[in-house]
Amino acid sequence: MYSKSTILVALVLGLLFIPGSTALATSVDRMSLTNLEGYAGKTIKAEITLEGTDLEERSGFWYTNYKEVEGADNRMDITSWITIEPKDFTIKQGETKVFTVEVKIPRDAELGLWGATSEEAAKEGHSGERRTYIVFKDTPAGGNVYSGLLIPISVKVLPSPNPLAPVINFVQQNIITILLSVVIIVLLARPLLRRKKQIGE
Amino acid sequence: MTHILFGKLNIAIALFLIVLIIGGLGGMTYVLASNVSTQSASTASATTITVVGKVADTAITTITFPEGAPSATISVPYNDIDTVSDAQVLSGTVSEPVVRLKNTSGGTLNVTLEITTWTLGVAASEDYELVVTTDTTVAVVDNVLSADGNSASVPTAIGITTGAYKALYLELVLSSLAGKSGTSTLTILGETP
Repeated sequence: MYSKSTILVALVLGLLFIPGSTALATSVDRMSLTNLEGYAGKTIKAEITLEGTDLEERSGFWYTNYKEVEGADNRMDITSWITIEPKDFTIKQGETKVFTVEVKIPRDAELGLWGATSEEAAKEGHSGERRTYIVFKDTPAGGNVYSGLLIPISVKVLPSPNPLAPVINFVQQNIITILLSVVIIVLLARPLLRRKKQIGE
Repeated sequence: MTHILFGKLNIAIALFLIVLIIGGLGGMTYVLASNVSTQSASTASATTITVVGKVADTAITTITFPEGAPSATISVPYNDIDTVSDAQVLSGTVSEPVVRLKNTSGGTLNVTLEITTWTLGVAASEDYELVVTTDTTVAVVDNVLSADGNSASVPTAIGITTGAYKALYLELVLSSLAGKSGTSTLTILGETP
């Protein structure tokens, strides 16, 4: 027969193993979308995933943000190029949701980097080089306090590719095989042509 | 006769070249010994900053500034977990924040504070202090969050390391309008330093 004190100790020890209501929030699968490569007039698509870790369902939305810095040129604000679908979301614990980030590069965009001052902008210690961000934030139902993350985004506008580039690459990579194939065709064609000629005579 | 011989020779050379090509292509897969070693790496999770109560690690949902006279300074906001009975305290010795910010992400996050415009013009301005939780000497809250009650975004340049907390103090100056009740949202944004 166990004493009351033994039961009390057991209860206290048991309480230690009950998980506390540890506050968690929302996770994202990438902290930057920098140096996306594309061509003027084309659209770049990238995916980004959120995972709910909070015990409560959270509601939120995506938006773009431009960090204005004195003296910045017009290549830094690319918020008007960006759309995120779906924009609004609700997320529960353990749930993952995929969002599509579309960057529509204007036809007249000049070559080079847009949205950040350096290709290193995503690296730790380079926050001063970031200008354009995508942002998500969310809150539990009825809340007026949101939390979110600033995710830097930048685009490298490349020169339009030569339409024959894949063919040229294939020829360069298989030049020996192609030459040997030509020799084989010539070697096989000559006797065949000769035989055809003899039959004709 | 010689034509036939040359024809056969051509075919023989062609077959030889075909074998050479096939052999050459196939040869690319010949691996005599493995020079491959496995590497592995992983990245830590990236999670939003959690806004929790003054003591417990429970996420708060709302922050409320109690009613005050027009143009008054309200320095006793409270959150829905600690309630009005345990509001923010400004003091040179025993200050207590309105909420704490906890970084559960895998790396340090720099904090940016954002507010939306206070509705009905109820606020004239809002200020903040973001300090280490061991600092209990916050008697004055004077970093500008919004100078006019309108929406604002303030990069604080203050980082929170993984698993660490920061204490957030808020103070609101009400506008001169009487009998109004307005709302605004506060956002805590994290960013890789």
